[in-house]
Amino acid sequence: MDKLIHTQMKQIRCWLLFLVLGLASQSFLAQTHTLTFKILDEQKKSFEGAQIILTPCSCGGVTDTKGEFSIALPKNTYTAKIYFVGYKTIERKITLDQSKSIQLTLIESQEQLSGVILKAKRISDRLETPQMGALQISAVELVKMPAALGEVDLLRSMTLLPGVNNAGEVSNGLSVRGGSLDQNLILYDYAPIFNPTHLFGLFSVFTPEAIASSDLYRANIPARYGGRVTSVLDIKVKNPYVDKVKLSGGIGLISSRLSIEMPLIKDKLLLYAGTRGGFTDFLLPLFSKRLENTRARFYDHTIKLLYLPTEKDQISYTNFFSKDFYQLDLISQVENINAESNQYDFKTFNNTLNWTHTFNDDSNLRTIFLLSKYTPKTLFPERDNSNVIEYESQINLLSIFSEYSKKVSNNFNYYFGLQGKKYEIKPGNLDPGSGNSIIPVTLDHETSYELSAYTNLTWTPFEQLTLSGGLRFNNFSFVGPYTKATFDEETEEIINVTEYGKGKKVKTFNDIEPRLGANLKLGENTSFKASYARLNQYLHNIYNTTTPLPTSRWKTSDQNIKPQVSDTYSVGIYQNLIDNTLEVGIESYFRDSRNNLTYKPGADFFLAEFLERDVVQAKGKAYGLEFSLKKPKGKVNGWINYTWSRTFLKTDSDKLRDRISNNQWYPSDFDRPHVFNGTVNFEGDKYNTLSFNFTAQTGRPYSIANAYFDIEGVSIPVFLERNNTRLKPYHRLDLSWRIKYSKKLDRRWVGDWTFTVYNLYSRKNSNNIFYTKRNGDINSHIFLGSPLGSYELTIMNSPLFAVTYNFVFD
Amino acid sequence: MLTKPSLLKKIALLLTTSVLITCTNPVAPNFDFIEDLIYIEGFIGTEEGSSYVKVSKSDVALYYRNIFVSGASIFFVNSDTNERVELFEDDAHYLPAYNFKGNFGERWSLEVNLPNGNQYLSEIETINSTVPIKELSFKYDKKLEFVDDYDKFLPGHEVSVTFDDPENEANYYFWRSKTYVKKNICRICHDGKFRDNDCTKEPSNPYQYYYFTYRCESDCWQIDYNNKIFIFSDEFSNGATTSSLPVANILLKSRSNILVKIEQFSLTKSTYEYYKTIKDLIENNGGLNAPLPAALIGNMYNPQNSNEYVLGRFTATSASTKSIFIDRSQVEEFPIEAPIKSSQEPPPDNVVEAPCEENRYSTLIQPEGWIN
Repeated sequence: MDKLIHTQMKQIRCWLLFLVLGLASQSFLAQTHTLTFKILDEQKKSFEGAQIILTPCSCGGVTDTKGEFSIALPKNTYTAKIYFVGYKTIERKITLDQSKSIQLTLIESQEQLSGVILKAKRISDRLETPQMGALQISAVELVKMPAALGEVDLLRSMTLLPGVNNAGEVSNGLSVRGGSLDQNLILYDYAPIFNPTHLFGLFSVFTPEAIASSDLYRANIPARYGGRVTSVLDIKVKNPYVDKVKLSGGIGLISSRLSIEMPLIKDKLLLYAGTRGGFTDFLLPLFSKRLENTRARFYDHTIKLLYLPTEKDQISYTNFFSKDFYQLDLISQVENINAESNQYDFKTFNNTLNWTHTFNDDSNLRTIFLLSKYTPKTLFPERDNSNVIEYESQINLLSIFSEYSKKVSNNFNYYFGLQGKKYEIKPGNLDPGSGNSIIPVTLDHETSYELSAYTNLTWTPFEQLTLSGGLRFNNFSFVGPYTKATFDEETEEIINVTEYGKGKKVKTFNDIEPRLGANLKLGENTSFKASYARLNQYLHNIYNTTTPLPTSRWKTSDQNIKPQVSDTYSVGIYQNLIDNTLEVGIESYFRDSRNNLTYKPGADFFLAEFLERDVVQAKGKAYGLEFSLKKPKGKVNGWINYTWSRTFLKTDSDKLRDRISNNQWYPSDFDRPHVFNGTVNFEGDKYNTLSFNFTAQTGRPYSIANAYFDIEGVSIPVFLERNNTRLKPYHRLDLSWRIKYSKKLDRRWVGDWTFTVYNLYSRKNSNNIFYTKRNGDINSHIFLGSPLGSYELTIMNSPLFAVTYNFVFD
Repeated sequence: MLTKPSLLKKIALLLTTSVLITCTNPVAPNFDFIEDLIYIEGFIGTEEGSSYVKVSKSDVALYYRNIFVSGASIFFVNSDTNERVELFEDDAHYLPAYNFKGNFGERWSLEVNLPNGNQYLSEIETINSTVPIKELSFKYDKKLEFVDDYDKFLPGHEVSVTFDDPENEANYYFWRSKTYVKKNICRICHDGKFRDNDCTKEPSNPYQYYYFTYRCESDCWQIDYNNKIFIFSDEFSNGATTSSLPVANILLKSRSNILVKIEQFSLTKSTYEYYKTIKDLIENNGGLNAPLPAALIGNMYNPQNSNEYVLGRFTATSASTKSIFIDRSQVEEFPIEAPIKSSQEPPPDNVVEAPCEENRYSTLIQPEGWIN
């Protein structure tokens, strides 16, 4: 009974409280006014996501897709602060005595910079604007993309673009439209990168904070670029246009990084320095027993100094250094050197000096001097003693180019330039150290010169049509010292040798490369593009494996190895839909190529003096259709793309044993008929960004045996056809969740946690399938009656969780 | 207190639950067979009875198999004297007279005439002089070799050679190893008993799904062959002493003492390249830098049809031999194979012993170098 009375009293108290509060709120609402903010950017477009804090109510919110935020408040005088990272904070006093709508413009924080720096930045922005036909990933887009082990990675992100692929989870570069990895030129502040990855190809060498932009040219390749037959990836290091110190970085499981931007002399000398290192290889055995003996460490840094001597001159110096060291049981050992293990040690040392002189707002002269040095080493610790045998090779590229650009009118601009390159390749030096089990070997240095002249003009004869025409002329010379050998056709033994002295021309190639592009606007939102480009490649990466080791050999064209040549034709149609919220594109291409490098079966290039004996140059053809759909803005944004493409090679050897697939067309290692990529970002609130990436593609072609025979009691597979089947389809879903935890929006320190899951649903994607000898009855239920066993090598076949803390101190 | 690495390891474990970066899984072997491929393997050794020729052909009529080609007319041809040594068919091989052997410096080729009229010839092979083994040594390693079938590193002994490479000539080496382990059990009969020198199945076998073991009547040694390819070229070490070069991995299949016999062959360059291709096909093919598979084309060809793939090769070579005895009784690790459990026939009339067979895998002749 007491309990019942107590319950009734409680209900009455609740009802009375509700009544009082209801009356109070009626009275309160009667005195409130609506305060509406409309935030715009400098282009007068709605600014989504701006954060608004009001005092003294300690309330606020975030602008919506229309750039608007509304709140009902009692009559009072408020202070409003409007923030967005990278933009100047706005502070306004508002007397709210009636409902009000306030429109404000957020200005990029750089606009706070001094006039000198601001002007320099505008010149740089104008010059670095990519040419027609580039596929871009901006620094902002790059950060959103999920990647393995919490690392933002440019090359992995690039593979989400149409027509861009790689050799698998472990790939030492990019394959663009079915080309091989060395057919894509990677430039980092103009200097070529010969080995773009760390950790056996798992990560690219580019520190994310250092990247200002990355433009991929696949079809309409501007005349200023040359040297590779499929594509150019032009990565620019950010210019430190700052007037105060800015720190950024991240701490992760695999690597940690730190960047600083600061003025050294106000308005004169500015610095960017970024570094990254990975030293957590002791964790690897936790992932796989196979990695017990693995050692893997890497480090890289980018330093850029920007000097502004006058208002019309900018001089920048970029230094990039990258170093790796690893030892891995999953890599087969070099033959004929008696060593405990093989260790790989390689470094890149690039320097770019860039002087830009501005004559006026419409004309500039840019002169660049660069030195690119790549030094791969293989270390062979000897057995039973402390001596280490070293094999070292090196590429030295010295280049200078000068380019004048002029904007004659809004409808016509042009540039022309001259470029000189000197390649010096040290193919190999075997140093026995203090031991005497190995004789020292030094292969002749190879020297080549490439002189190029180029011009490109862009003309808009009428509003709907833009034409671009370019021409590049290359004069490539391979000079002595050189030993030319003649071989017996049957025995392949050397029958004659001719020596060329230092500097004497051995072989010269003169090539003209036309580059043409057209862009026709069909109405407000539709455009049609067509292009043609011829390219010659004089520098080749020589390797007889599915993906090159960082230590694999580079070789310039000479008497025996002709330049690779390609003619690429491309057409595409692009349309913006639904008030420019969607971008749709369909592009198709055909590439006819000659002198693609393939290798005679069983070729081995380690310290080989006459590579030509093992190289076969093949015809190639590649074609495809790429479809892309992009939604660049909104709370839910992202893109999907689908590519259908084929790529084939064909040798033409007289000798049976040198033929690949008996001189029939065969799919290249990079033939992937179907590729689908999808990336979706959910930017729901100011604290969380959730991104998903899904990729699916036809499996890589590989070779299965056509027979097997017993040799000394062991069954040996016999391969007469190359790439006659495929690995199972590759697909994977990744997740990235970025959490900004700071609630104090005006803090100078902004941090976020990035939580990533690579391969969310544990797809066991094959990296390779290979035959093994049988060990009795082990796995006999799978191998059945086959005298050979077979194994599938998978890499990253479980969800790979990682967390990284990233920060910016501004 | 946790040290820094162990703390990091625990954090990593927490974050990477059930994560595997690399893994190998067995899958059903896949082939794309081609019919009527000819495979010829010819060998001339410097020991009597070591020379042979095998000719087989791929057949996919019912299932894939290699059929021995019978009725061929085969000759070893001495390229200097034009002497023709005929070979005769014997147990799926073609053999010359037993006392035939090659000698250092001789140059030989192989001529094969098939019953269908096709003729196959080899390039000329020279028998190079043997380089003697200076020293054999062994070393125990708890993690000697990663084996996919076991998905782990296995323990075993690494046997190494030391030799002086001759100066002023290119030398190519190949090592073959045989191991001898004393057998206790000379016969195992499943679903039956050992009678009349063979396992006889019993129609109403009460012991089905069981087996009987039979002790060896006399001393007997089991012979095993190392099936890894060990090759070496002196291209970077011409004239130098090569020390402690591994030439055999003896996995710890049991803790019984073992004798390892190493044969060191001197090859021609083309034979070396052929073995290198085999090594790439079967041993170097599982890594991240697996070489692209190559056709196993040696030095045989069809003179009437240059477009015909003729697989296999003809080799003429010599070998030097040395043995080493390894006492494995002190090894602490467990053997990778469980020993065969003895299971004798129940009395009465039970047989408990079987003779030691003399064949490729067993011998009753005590091997040279065996220590009792």
